[in-house]
Amino acid sequence: MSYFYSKTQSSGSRALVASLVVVVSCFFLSSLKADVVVQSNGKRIDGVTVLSAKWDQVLFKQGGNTVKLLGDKVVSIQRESAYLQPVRSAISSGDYAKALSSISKLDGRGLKGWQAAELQYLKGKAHLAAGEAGKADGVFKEFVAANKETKDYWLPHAIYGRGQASLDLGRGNSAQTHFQGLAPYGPTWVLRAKLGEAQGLFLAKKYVESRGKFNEVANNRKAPDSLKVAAVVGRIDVIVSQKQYDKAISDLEKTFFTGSTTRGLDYGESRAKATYLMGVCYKGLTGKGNLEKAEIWLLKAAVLYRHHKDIYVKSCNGLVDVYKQLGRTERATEWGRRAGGKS
Amino acid sequence: MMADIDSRLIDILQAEGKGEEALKALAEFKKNWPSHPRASLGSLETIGSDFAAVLSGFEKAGTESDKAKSDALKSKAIADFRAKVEKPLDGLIADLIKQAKAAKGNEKLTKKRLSYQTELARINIFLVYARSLEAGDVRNSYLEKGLKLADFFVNERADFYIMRYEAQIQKGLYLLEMERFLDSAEELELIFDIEPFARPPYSPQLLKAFHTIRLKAYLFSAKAYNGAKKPEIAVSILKTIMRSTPVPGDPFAPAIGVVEKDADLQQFAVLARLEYGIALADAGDAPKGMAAIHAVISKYDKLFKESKVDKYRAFVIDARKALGRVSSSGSAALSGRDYYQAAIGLKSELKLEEALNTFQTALAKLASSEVEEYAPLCLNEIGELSFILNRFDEAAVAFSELAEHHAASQIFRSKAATSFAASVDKAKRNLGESGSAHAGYAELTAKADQFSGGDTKYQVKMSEAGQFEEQGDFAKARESFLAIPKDDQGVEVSYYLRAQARGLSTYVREYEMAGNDAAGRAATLKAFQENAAKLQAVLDEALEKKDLRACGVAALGLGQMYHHLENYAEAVKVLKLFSTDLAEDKFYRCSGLGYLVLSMVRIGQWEEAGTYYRVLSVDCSKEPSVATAAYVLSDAADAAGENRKAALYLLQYAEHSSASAEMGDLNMVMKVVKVLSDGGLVSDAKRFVEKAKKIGGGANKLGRELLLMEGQIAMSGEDWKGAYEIFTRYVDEFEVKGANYEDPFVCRDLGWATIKLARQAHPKPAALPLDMLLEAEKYYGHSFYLLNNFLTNTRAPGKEPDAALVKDYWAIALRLQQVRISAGRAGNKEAYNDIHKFVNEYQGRIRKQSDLWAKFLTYWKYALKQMGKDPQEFIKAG
Repeated sequence: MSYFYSKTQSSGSRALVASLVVVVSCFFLSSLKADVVVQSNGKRIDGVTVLSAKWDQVLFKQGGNTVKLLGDKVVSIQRESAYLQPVRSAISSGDYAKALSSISKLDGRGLKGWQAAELQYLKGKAHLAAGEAGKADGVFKEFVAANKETKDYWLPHAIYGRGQASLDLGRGNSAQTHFQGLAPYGPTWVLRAKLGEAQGLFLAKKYVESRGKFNEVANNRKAPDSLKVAAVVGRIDVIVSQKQYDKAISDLEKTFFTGSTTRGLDYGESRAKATYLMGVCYKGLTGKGNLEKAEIWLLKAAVLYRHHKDIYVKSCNGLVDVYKQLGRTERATEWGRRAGGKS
Repeated sequence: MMADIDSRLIDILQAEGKGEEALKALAEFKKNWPSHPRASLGSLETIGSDFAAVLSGFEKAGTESDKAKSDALKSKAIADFRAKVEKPLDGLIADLIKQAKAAKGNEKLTKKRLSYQTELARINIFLVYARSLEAGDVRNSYLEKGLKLADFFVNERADFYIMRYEAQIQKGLYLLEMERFLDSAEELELIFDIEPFARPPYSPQLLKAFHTIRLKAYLFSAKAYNGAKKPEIAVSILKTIMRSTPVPGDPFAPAIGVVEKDADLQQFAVLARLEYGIALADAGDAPKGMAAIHAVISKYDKLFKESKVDKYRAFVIDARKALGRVSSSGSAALSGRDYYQAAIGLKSELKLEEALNTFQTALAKLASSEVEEYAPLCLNEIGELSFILNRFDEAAVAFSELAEHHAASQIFRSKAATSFAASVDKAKRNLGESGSAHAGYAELTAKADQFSGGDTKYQVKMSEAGQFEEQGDFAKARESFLAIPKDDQGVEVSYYLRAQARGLSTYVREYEMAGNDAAGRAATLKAFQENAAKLQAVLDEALEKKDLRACGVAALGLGQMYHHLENYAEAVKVLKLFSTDLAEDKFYRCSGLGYLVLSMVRIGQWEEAGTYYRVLSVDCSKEPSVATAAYVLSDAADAAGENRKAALYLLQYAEHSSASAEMGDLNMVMKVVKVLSDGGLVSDAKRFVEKAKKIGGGANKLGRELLLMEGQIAMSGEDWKGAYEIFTRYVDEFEVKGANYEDPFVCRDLGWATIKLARQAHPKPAALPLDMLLEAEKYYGHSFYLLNNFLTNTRAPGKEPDAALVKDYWAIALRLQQVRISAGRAGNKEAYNDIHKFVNEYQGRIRKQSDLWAKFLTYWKYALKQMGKDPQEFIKAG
């Protein structure tokens, strides 16, 4: 083979996986993934093999050791499953229609054991997130009935889901019943139930009571950080609804945006919501200057938290409002387009 | 052996990216080793080099954020491909096939091999080219065309079986590119089990050839099955070769662990590993799939860190792209860190939107233990990609998050702080005037300023000043440039001197913009006088500190100031820096050398200026200053009577791309024609005559002057037929009554062209035909008559007529008699009588005004003799 030919062949083949360009080289520690366990303190344990997952106890193998954790201390688990992974990914990226479509295909494949249970739970979760609270409640109900005896890990999650679905359906009393039903599942679930109750009260516009409930969780010394932060954001959300924007801004600044330490910092949903609320607060205040500050906060929420679909869409819509008020119609149209799912 | 060493040297130059040097070496190689196969491949390597430039054009277009510029780059690349790659390739292949057909014996086989190799190269080139094109008809047409060529090769080119297998692979690749996945897989499967017609022991070369073909077939068919959403088949294909020892019973099967050690096959082996990982993940075994991909990253990242060999880094990037594919399919649970790696892979494939989205997902997915390390990296990438996508406001908020919560990170300190300031500045500028009053951006600006000092801070100010200059607001630009301090709270501003030089040089831009506004120019000239010393001081300091960028701006500005002040000697002194201290300057040297030539011409040093012009025309060949310098040098040479030099300079001017607008003007083209014609550049002059015709709207509408020049060019080129026709047209179209100075000379030249044309048709010793002689006589006679009138009418009382004109006048008269002699000899006896009458009438003046009397006398005597008369009767004594 001549030189030129082999050279051409070579460059052509390289081009098959696109041209090679220089990028930042970074350290990479090989993580041979299997299952994942996330503890309530936010610690993620990769590369384990979950042996058994019940709501009261999760048992997994890490290296050569078998580890036992109280179910209350485990915020989520992820077991490798080629069937379930696409559904999880779709839910995680906010594509609920895709998730439900994958679920319907899997429904007839006769999954068994934990995969069948999780599929059912994910179905309820997808319906709930897609705004189909009635369907979600039905699916969660079936899940609870079918898995109560086996103590499946997702059982309290499904009960909590029923509570949320009831809230969405405006059935405050039913929601209360479901949340109260979480008491036997451990102190963390009790706190989560309180969060749910607080949300219910908030939706019922019982702001004082709602703030009280949120405070209970936020001030509970034993509550995991993630719950505390969620409670703080929930409480501030109530304050924002009461149009006490200055107070809300002050609380948000204090909790989320003061200090430059990265300790405890994450880019999860609570922080996303906090950023969005900053935008909402400034938008609520009078004057062009505040509107311009709102623009920056909402931009930040949209740019940094695009993965949190709900917050992202709300931020896009907030920007549409802001730009309309500022007379920048072109930008308003652009963000309207993005709110509709176009990048 | 020596040829192979020389050939290897070319390879090395190419590998080092020294394309130009490689081509030169190749040209030398062809001269030295004409029978070597590499030399026989003709222009293929040149085509390869042009093709590389086309691909790099597409790459640039892909990263260009300005759509208009990006489209222009793409159009150029497409045009270049057609002109410099596709056409020459077709020509080369046709030529090689012809050579192969004509060759005999062993030579025939060699030639055939070469022509096949080139055909195969074309198939490959079309595929790579099609991949660079956007989806659409053009891309599809190249894919179709390439597929047909590959199919033809497979069916018709049977002599070299390895090449035939290669063509089979190409066929599979075309189908893969067309997303006809199952067709592609089917084509590739045809060569899964190929074996040579040979008995063991097999040579290493043979084993390698078959490993290569089969490895590619496995790899690309697996890719096709993954594309067709049949990953389980892809797994089954690759599984058999995923082993570290040879496959038992099949020595031609490419065991990955074995072929990965071969430098030529390594890249395909790595890609096969990655494709296997993707297939496993898609088929449901995500842990194994991810492990396969991560193993590639770990291995080659380590190797790259140890050796710094680029290909290892390329493998790591390929692996990240594989992660990107897994993340897009959602078939495996990725951590935040995985998403980050995948996003880097997507970014390297220039899938910018997808990469941005994946970085945003990575940020959201980071576990608490990953935040400190990866959040700054993700935020920086989100900022950078937003910036590239012209979303400056979004970039600004991403960088602000970095500044507020990750200011201590390495990435922020090393680059993001600057990017933060730049993106805030750009976002504000997008808002126009309201940007500076925007409350949100005021906070971001304060934050950006907090993290920037020295260069970082003033880079934005510098760019702001540059914007003012571009907008033509020179006063504001000057103020902004000159406001840049030497240091910022103790931190040195490295471009202080450059800012000073640019600030003071804005006066020059102002002068240029003043155009014909005399008052404006006068005011600026005054500013030159007031500021030249300041700029000189900046230049001196820059020279002392060896700040060459500042030095370049200052030297050009100061040189231009002196030039416009008509202090050319000072200008020359300063501008000569561009041939000494600033010889390496990349930004201002071309303009500087241009002005140097202009100033030197002004002080009469045009010949010496030629030296600088040559440097200018080589180093800055496309710069407008080359054309300007050539023009003034031509004028200077013309004035000095150096017609040839004047012509050569003006030709360079006329052919320079920056002079194309001026060369659309008929007067300018006429000037070029005249100067080139005078300088003896006849064929070039002819080209410009054609250009003038086009501009003038066709031959019939040509100006008299141009026609005259065209005739003269034909004359000096001894194109007698052309000259005859042009001058005849002149005589027909314009009244030749002496209204124009050139009329008698046109008649004279037409007479001469007639004689020469007749002689061309009737070479000596044949006599010239009488009708042509009579025609020539008519033109000479009219020429003499017109000139006679002219001399009579223009003669001032008491003054002698113009001597040169008188000389021409008698020369024409003599030529007239000469033609009459020939006519007489050809049978026109009346011609002798005409000679007799003419010389008899003018003999007194001939003797007085010319030194041609002896010749006239000879003709007269001859004529009288032919008439049977005694010359003594007519010729006056003395």
